[in-house]
Amino acid sequence: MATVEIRSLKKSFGAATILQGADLRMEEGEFVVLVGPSGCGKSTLLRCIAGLEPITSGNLVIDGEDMTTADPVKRGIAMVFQSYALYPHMTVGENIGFGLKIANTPKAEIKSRVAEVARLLKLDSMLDRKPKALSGGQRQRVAIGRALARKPRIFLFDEPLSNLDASLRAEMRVELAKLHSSLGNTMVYVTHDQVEAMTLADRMVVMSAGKIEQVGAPLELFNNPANRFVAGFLGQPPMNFIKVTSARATASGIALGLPGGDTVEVGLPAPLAGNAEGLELGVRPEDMSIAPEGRLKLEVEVVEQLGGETIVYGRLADGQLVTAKLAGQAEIAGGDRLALDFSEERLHVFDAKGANLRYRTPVPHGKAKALS
Amino acid sequence: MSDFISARGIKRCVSYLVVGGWALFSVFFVVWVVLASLKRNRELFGSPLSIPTSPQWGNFVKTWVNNRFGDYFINSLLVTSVSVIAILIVAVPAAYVLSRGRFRGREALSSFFAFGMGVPFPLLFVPLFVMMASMRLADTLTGLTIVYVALSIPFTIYVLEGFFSSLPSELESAAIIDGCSDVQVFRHVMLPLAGPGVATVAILNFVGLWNEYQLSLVLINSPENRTLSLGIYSLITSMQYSGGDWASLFAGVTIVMVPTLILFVILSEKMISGITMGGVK
Repeated sequence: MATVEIRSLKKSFGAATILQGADLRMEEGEFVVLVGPSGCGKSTLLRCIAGLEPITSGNLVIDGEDMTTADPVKRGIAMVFQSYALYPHMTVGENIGFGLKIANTPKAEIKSRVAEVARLLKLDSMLDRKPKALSGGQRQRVAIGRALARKPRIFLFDEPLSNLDASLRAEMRVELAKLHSSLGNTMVYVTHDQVEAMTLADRMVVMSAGKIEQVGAPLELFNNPANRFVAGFLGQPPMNFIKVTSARATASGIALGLPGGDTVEVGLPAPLAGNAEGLELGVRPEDMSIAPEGRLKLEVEVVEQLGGETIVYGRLADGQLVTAKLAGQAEIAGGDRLALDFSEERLHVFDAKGANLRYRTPVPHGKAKALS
Repeated sequence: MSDFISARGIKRCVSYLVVGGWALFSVFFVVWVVLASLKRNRELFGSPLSIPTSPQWGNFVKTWVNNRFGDYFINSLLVTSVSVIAILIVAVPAAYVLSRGRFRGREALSSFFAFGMGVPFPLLFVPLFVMMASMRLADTLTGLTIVYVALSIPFTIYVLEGFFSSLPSELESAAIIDGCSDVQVFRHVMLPLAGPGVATVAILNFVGLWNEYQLSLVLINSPENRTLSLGIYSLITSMQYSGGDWASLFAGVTIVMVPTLILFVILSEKMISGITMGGVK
């Protein structure tokens, strides 16, 4: 087990800056998921931690020791790649034991360690097979086995499940969660799949355009996003952003004008009143419900019946698109007019720069916190 | 849809006809030469397409011993084998570094090697001979081997560079994470994966050098240092004086063909997969 600290880490490829100064601390035994859209720099950050990419500036500290320029093997890490990266000319057993062989481990020890790992991952019967004779899930297990065999301090996963089909992905997700709880190692996991991120992470690191946008427990980020990007990235369907028409001070806060003439009152400081320019209301589709007196008047365009829930896509009076996720099987069709209401407590308000005006600074808990 | 299928069917038919015709043409002449080498000269001209009734293995003995094809064969085998091994020793690591290394001037160096392929050999005859003579390597098999290696490196590096580039880089990353040094990554991971590519360039170089004639003609003078291609030529020349012993000549041609045929039979599968892999890239 190990702690990992990233201090003002920057990474550039020529003139292109990929990481713009990341600060992060991962505690012993933590499962940290780096999540973000393609090209946000999450894989680059992982490769910098692994030592596969030189760090342009800043520091990487593992267990208190500066590893910024250390060779990958000295960092005590193992990595599982998106394409598995199994050596095609070696058998499963040779793949798992390769790292030990390179480290000049005695043959008997390699054999027993490979057998132990194979037993753990249910690969015992396939040790003599070549990777091409394995299914996707089996290959993924071999890749994990290869990482396990060397008993690393830190496991790095680079989108390891993205090549698997949906059912196998769900199965492997559970396997990984079990593995983490049984091994207790620090794990850093990169994905663009928010379901993987939400289900596996002790803490999530949401990244965008080379920057860390927010760090926190999955539900903390979902319920209390720091900005418009995080709010929009987490949740499926994504959060609705509704441009408000006016902002006027009231006794208990500010009344924000909605398309169609209704208002919603939110507890925000009075100085924000008067300028509605760029203000947006953030409403999650699942926080909406049909109500006769609902303040959002919607003309339905498309309805998706998913059995357990109904997703409704429509437009407000001023043409803004809105998505609602209703529980159960609602009898709605395209062209219907709906009145939707929402819970005011779960509303978010974003300013013109995208900051969440209702963001509550989390109380730092014992396990970990972002340095930034 | 049916138009599409019939158009595709016609295309396929034409391809099979062309490839099949070409294969038949080549096989016919190879078989004819082998059969001719087992005939008497009289039989050869009397019934050129017949199968020899009593095979004349003596033709081979005569060519091997009297015409010194045994010596030429060993010379050719020695020069070609050593050259191919040396070419691979130099070109395989060089191609790997040029395809994967990150250093200044890498592209310029790659282009420099590619440029080497464009130099016509006849342009090099005189300078090469002068250089070899000044090093006292003219008319030696060692000199010929050095020249073969030097002139084959650009093509070999060019082919292998494309081959290494087509291998997934994540395997290298995985090997580095597993604790490999750069040399170990090459030795344990990339080299075994490049097997088909290495087999391809090995066989292409072997066949090319085995059949090479011009450079050996320029650099080799002594009869004892002749290679097989020079031996065939000397046999043709001698036929002007001794009358036409065509059967012995065909026996000589058969001896020349045998190693390349064996090599093709052993390595053709690897070579084809090598060529296709390169093609994917």
